[in-house]
Amino acid sequence: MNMFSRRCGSCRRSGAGAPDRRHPRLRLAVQLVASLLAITLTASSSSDTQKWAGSRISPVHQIPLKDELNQPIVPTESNPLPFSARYTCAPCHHYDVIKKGLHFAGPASGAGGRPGEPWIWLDERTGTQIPVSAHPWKGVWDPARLGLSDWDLTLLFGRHMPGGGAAEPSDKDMTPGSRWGVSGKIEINCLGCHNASRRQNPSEWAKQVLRENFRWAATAAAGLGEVGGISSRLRPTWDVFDGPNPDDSEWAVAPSVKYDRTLFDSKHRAFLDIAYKPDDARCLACHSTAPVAQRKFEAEDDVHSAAGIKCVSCHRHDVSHAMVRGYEGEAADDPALLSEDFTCKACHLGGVSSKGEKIPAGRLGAPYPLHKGIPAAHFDRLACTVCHSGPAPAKETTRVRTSRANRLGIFGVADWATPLPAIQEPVYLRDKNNRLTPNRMMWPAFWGETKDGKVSPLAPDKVLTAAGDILFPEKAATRVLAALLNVADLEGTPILVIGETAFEMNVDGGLTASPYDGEKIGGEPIWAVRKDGKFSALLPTFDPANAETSADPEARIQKILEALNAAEGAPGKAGIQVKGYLYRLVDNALDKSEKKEAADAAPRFGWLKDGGLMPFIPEPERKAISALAGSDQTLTEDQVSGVLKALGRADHVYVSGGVLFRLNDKGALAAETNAAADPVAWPLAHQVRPARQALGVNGCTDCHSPTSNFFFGRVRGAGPLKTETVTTRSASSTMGLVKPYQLLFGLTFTARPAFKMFLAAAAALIGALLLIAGLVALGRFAGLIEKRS
Amino acid sequence: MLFIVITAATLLGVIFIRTRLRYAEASAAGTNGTETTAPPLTYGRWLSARVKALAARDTWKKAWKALVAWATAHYPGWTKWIFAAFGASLAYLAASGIFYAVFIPRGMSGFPLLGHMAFGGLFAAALAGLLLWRGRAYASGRGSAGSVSGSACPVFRNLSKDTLRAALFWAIAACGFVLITTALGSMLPLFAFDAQRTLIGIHRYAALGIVLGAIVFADLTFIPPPKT
Repeated sequence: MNMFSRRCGSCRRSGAGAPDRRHPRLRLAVQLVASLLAITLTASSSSDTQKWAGSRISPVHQIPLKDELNQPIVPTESNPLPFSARYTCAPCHHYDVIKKGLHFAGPASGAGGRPGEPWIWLDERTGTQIPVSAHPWKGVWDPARLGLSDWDLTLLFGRHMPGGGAAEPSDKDMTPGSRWGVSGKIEINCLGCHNASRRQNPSEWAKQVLRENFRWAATAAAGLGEVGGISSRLRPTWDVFDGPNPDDSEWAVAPSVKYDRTLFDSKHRAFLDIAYKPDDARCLACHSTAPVAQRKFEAEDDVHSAAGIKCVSCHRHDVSHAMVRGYEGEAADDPALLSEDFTCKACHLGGVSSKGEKIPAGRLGAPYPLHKGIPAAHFDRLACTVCHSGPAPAKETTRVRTSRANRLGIFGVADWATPLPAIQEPVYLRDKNNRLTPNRMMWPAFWGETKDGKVSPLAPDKVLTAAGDILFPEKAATRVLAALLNVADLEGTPILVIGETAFEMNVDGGLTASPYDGEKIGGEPIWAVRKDGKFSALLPTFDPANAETSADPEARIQKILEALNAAEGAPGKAGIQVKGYLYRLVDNALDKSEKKEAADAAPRFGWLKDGGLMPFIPEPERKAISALAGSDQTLTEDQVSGVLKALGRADHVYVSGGVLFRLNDKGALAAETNAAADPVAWPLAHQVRPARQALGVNGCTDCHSPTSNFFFGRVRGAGPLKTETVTTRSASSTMGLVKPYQLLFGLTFTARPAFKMFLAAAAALIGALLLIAGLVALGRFAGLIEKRS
Repeated sequence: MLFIVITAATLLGVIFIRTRLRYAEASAAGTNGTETTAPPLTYGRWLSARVKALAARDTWKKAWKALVAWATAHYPGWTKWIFAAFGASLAYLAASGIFYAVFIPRGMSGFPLLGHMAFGGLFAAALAGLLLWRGRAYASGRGSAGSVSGSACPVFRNLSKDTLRAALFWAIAACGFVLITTALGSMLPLFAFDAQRTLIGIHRYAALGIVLGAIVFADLTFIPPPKT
């Protein structure tokens, strides 16, 4: 339905911009009638259409698209509304049932069962990474406790949300300050999973969510049409029925959609390439995990995927979308699920469900594992995934990235992926049944305040306000580098060299570090130019005292100073000191004055302040830039001290790497342990390695040896703070085992072959003697022995 | 669970049968060899008195003396260490095995498991030694034929104590053989998941058998008959 076709005649005639706002009752009535009609249709049809008649094929979805007012979309109209899954899919699929599903209902879908991956509230500027979930899982923060509204959650995590839940709040849940009226809600994006078309684009989804084009995101991501405009730039009172802003076609452009008309037939029915069973790529858009150091071509598929099994082959659900997660004990958490049938054990070993039904082994061709030589205790005490899933245990845990935590799978000009948070796996922990399970683990990091011994996170904005430039040491450098970009005839990219690292300004306004192999001059930062991989000095070497040779360099100096003086946020005018001469601009003319100070070998650049030349990059900033070069970490201990002082109160703390930092009485940074710094962990199940790569395939000593990574590997706290003060835990301790015992037990395996041979010899001897005794007894019983004697 | 029930039933059964036979023996001794059928109440009082006697230090001293005397008589010289090793390993294995099998659903782990393995090795060596050094004596069939007594076995009432002792010796040896082979089997990469479970089951029942046999053997051998 054309958004303007709903205008009444008088409005059309007058050309008023917002007719529906002038007639709210009319609009309300239309919406009410449409909604009632939809509900009636849905209710009358759902009981029939949800029942499977038996055909294994799915219908072709050549269907009319509906907008959020349940009006058919006519793509040829100008400015039609985006399609609404709620009404487009509703005639056959019960939206109100679906929205209670695992992916959409959030905490409403029960207690949450086994811990899953939480959302990570990441703010790189402040070094904040807080696990967030409304489920009552250990180590996560409830959004309400963090002051995060549905609006905030949608803005933070909508990029990987499937719609519904927090992204589709009821009117009573809309908080002040939110802009749902402008953006619209994010309905459940059915096409996000079920669209088999290769045009389904998660990156487009993320982009539209970032622009707060919530109601348009599904249409754009599915490739049904082209969406333009940016809701976040519109005034808060803008309404979708206001239409385009005639006064602004460049900045505050209202979102609109141009449908791809080739998808529609003459009856305005669109062809949707619907997959009953979504492709794995749809799942992996939000559920990818990969080791940080791994290259794409090195990545192996999960054995199940390699065997042609889809994610949804095991993670099944009916129309309720109550999806089977597939862990053992899930049936107890949610008796309505048939989840016992879809565990590793059920498919590979079979058994009996808690309902007493026999579960046959071998579903989907699952091989029956023999596990030869593995004592049965292992199967009682370890989850299958301990030996079969995730990376093999190493001395240190493997650092991985996940789609949702590290913003993977969003492609475009901007680099969405983030190196933080650092997620580690496998970390073996005990589940609620006391069985070992491999987990992914993340160490929270945040600024907080303590009250009654409890730590509560501070919102990043509060920290930013207090910290000022402490958290942005690169600003001092980027200010200069950005200015130098405007120097004419520079013939290259301006760079800053500190030590053996060259820093270049990137598109995000930050610094990108790379190795520097050019000429080194003292310990001072060097301003240079890079062209074709070669470095040259920003200023050529010259003698300012020689008027004949200094003309060209001085012309370059003038250009540089002009550019620097125009730098945004410059603390003063720029000056350059070359061999005892200070150059500066006075009334736009180059001024050269002789200084009595000792001449430096290299030119000195700086801001003229208090009669002196202040370095472009003050010492604390230089230290921070240098320390963080080439690192994923974003904070130094000096910065943490600085921010804690800036926050001003003694009860402020910073948490990172499993340690809580606070300023002691002397104002120095002190570390301590605190439950708030404890990591959050969630079991991993994929990817599943082939049997030949499982733990134990090489024998007991894969785990039971004094040098075993399984028992004696370690997990080190990791966070945004670059520090050696982190929590380190051995694998034994995370498992709740006694390390010396495991060491001793492992040592016994060095003698195990001899022990087995000894037992075999003893058994052979005992067996032989028993045989002899048996024969004697038999002989005596038969009377043969007595007869002979 | 089945194993727990069977363990409890058989242990209680053996204790009942052995005490009942002892009671009958004591009653017969008290009535000049005339066996009487004592009413349950009287048996209860007798049993209660015996249990109380167990708490007395003197009882244990006497039992220890009887054990040492028997061991010295039957295992002369250095061979007493074979018997000592067998007895000690059997005691630890039985205590740790039954405790974990009955009371700890997750099964044995940690240092008790290490001890179980170490004593298991000792048990295997000692059992082989016992068979080598004492097997001939129990295989000769030259038991004291004259000591026919109803107190030896409630089923085969004409079975002599020595014959029963010999039978128990070989039964213990057979169970020990099963224990060793099943333990060894579960360490070898030969048996699959289900077979591993079966091996553990067999191991447990063989252990129960050896414990029951050892109890009866000890009762026959080390606990002196009532004074007449």
